[in-house]
Amino acid sequence: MSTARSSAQHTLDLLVLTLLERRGALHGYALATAIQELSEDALRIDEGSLYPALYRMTEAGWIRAGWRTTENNRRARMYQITKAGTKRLAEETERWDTFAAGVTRVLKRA
Amino acid sequence: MPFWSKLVNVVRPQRLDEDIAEEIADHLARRAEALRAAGVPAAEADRRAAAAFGNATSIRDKGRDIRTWTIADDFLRDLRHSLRELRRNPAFAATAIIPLGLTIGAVTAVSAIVDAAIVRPLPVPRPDRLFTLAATEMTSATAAPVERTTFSVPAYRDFRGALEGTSSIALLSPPGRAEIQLSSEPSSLTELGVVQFVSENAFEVLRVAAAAGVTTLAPGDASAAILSWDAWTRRFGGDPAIVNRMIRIDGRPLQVIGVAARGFFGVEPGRFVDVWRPISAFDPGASTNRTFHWASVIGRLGGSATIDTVRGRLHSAYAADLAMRMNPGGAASGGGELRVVPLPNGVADARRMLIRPLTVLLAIGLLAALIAAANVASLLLARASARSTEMAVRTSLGAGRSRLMRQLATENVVLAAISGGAGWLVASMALPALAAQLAAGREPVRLAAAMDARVLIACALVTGICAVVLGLLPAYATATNPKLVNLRDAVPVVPRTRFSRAFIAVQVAFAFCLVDTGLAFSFSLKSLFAIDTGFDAGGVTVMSIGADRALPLPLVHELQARVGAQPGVESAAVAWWALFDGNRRMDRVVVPGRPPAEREEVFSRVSPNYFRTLRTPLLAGRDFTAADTEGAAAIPTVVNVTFARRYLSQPGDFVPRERTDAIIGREFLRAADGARHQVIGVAADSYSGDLRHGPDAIAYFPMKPPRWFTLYVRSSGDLRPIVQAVRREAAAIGSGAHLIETVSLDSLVARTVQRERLLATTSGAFALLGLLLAAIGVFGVLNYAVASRSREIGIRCALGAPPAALVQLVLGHVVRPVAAGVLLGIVATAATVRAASSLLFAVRPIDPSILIATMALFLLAAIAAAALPLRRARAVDAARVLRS
Repeated sequence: MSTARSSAQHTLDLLVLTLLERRGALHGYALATAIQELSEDALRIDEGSLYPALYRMTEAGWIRAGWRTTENNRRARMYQITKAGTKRLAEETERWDTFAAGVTRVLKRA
Repeated sequence: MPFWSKLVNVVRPQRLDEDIAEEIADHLARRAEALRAAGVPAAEADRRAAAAFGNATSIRDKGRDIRTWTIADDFLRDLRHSLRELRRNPAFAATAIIPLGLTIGAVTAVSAIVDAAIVRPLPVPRPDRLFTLAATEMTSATAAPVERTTFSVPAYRDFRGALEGTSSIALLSPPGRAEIQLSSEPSSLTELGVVQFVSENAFEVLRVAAAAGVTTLAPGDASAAILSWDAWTRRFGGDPAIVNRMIRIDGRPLQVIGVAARGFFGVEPGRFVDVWRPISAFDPGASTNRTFHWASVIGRLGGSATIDTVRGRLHSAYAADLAMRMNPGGAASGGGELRVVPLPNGVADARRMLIRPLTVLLAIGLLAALIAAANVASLLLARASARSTEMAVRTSLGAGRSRLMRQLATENVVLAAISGGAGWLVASMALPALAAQLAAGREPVRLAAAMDARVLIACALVTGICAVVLGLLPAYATATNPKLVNLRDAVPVVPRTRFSRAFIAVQVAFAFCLVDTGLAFSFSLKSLFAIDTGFDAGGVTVMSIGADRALPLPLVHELQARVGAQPGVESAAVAWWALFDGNRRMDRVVVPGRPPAEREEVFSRVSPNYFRTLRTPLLAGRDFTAADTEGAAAIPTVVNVTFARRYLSQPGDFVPRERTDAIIGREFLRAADGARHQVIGVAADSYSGDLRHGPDAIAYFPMKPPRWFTLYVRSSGDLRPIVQAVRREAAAIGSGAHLIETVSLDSLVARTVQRERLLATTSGAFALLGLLLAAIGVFGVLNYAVASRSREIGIRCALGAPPAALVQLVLGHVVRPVAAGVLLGIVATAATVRAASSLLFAVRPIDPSILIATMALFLLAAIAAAALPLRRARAVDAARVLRS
């Protein structure tokens, strides 16, 4: 398992962690839907490829997973952010801000 | 806890699969629901949901990989696969596991002995706090310093006073043999046991508890005795009423006041003490004699004391003792130094004798284990080549080289582990036999050898070494021979690598070394047995007789005469000490007119008829008669040839012709008391102690009233009536005279070569094993060569190849490695034999007869190993093979 993450993975991590922090516990489907709706369809990911990312983040200790019974007596695997995850979120947010600011600067001055 | 859950997922993969499947199913269901709510028909909703999701199978696989500890998962898989393979090929499993298991077992057994004899600390609490004392002293300015580890009773008392408050010390005599009677009846059965005299605080210092009664000996109580647990359970049957029971030791009634805790046998590994008695019960003269150094001092560091503390405290006490001994006036004539030595393993004497032979045995065992491992390794290598198709398929399915190597390594390690378990079983069976071998002998070495945790560690270590050797193989093999994982070759390729050839050479070299060493030890033993001892031991029984006080000589001679007159007895004689028993009277010889000698010679008191009984020829002069006594001004003495040559010869006596009668009448003095000896006869050379260093120079002279003596009886037929007669005659003498021990002279001599016997039998067994292993190894490789090249053989046969060409084909690529191995083996053997030369007798490092014997054995083994494969080669059906 390589530890070098692509920028796409970093972005996905950022989105997932932010959502979990703001909205509490969510299951995989809710995350996928939220990303799609909130971005107004600008971001579409293969819903399936969300799960390997979620598993990776769970193994890394940034989020925690557990089966819960949601509304309608339905079982779903819910993910929550952990303390380590909050720290990682701060790092990823900073990384994103730096990246975005950098791109913007180049675009402005080019 | 991600790590824990990863591990759990390795062990319960189905749960993980269900988990992932359920999550995916849930997601798809929700998506389909949302689509249905938007008006999409059910079937279309499901399809669109699935399409949006992506490849569920690969998601599942990726998920599984992320959430499992892959390495452990792979390992479990490989483990199951290896076990399955071994079950499917029992023949292969046997040829791999049996030799490895046997050698690991042998090494483990020897390690258990080494641990019990040398490494293990004493079975007392905190053995690291024990210490002993040793002194190096110079008796005069010119003599070499003398080292001793025993001290006198007064010195001990001084030391004890000096150490008051910091540490405590106890005095322990050397263990000695004594007769033990289980009850106070004077005529009850006697057995020989071991008795040790100790100070009353000995058990307290050693911190050995009492299993029954008490272990503190009251200072004045000379009739108290403490039994060992072993003696209590073996001789007294663990009688619960043992305390206050009366027993007899050397005829003296004693009262048992306690039994020592289980597992404590004394302070000398290899000597089991049966009874402890107080020091005050020993000769009363010993407790005031400062020059009688006979007992060791063992102490325990108290509280925060250190070795230096003790040394500091004892310094002045020792100096005072030294001064009093050297010169009663007070000025010391020589110097002396007291050392305080830590003693966690106990007193060393019996141990010292065993260290070298045991180390040699351990080395031999390890060598054999390495041969076995190399053997199995080359077998596996040959097999690996036959599996190249399997490897190629795995590679094409995505296994990387590291994954393949891990699989092969796991298989080999599993093999090693199973062999280790088998080895443990073998060791459990071999250990009692080995311990029994050591316990037989003049100085029986009784060891508390057990298969305990420490031996387990040794076994695991050896197994680990084998596992590493076997496990690293696949790595090396695939690294140097990439064809091993090649799908293109339809026919598996025999790895004609330098590697497998080197293996054969190394195996042959090791095996050669083993066999040669084994033969060397056997030859050594044979040479020892072949020595002309100077007497005829066959038919001679040695009986030791003891009494309460010195017996008048006429009574002793009368006993000798009466026993000699018994039916079946050819002749009888009496002597002071028994031959080969370890006890000898030594003294320096002073010849008037010549400078005094430095070495000491044997002085042996014997009765008339001695030489006739032992059949040592008298070369000149006469035997002793009843008239010869010690009281004469010049003591009549018979000397042997070596003595005569060394001290009494003058020019012309032995050159050009031996004229021993010229020695008669010459005189010499004994250094100890200046007694004058006159030669009345010259006897042939004979051995009295060690067979290894040439015959001793012996001076025989008449008996004086003995308290203990030895009766030699040459007889034929049943020994029992003779022993009865001796018992009767001894009782008739009175003064408590009785028969102590009866043993044949043959077994006395045999006991002295017990160490050589141990080495010869054990190394012989290892040698046989090594030869077998090398033969199996060569056989295995040849077999696979034939099997994998059967096509080539078939073609050559079809083309009309002569049988000689077949032989060359099959054997060709092993001849050179074997030859190289033999050469290497010769070199290794020369080094080994030189290293073990102190244990060998009359064997040169490169002994031609042994070499020839070894090569002959190897030739036989080689022929046997090659026979079957050659027959297979000849039996190859060319037509069938060409068609396949």
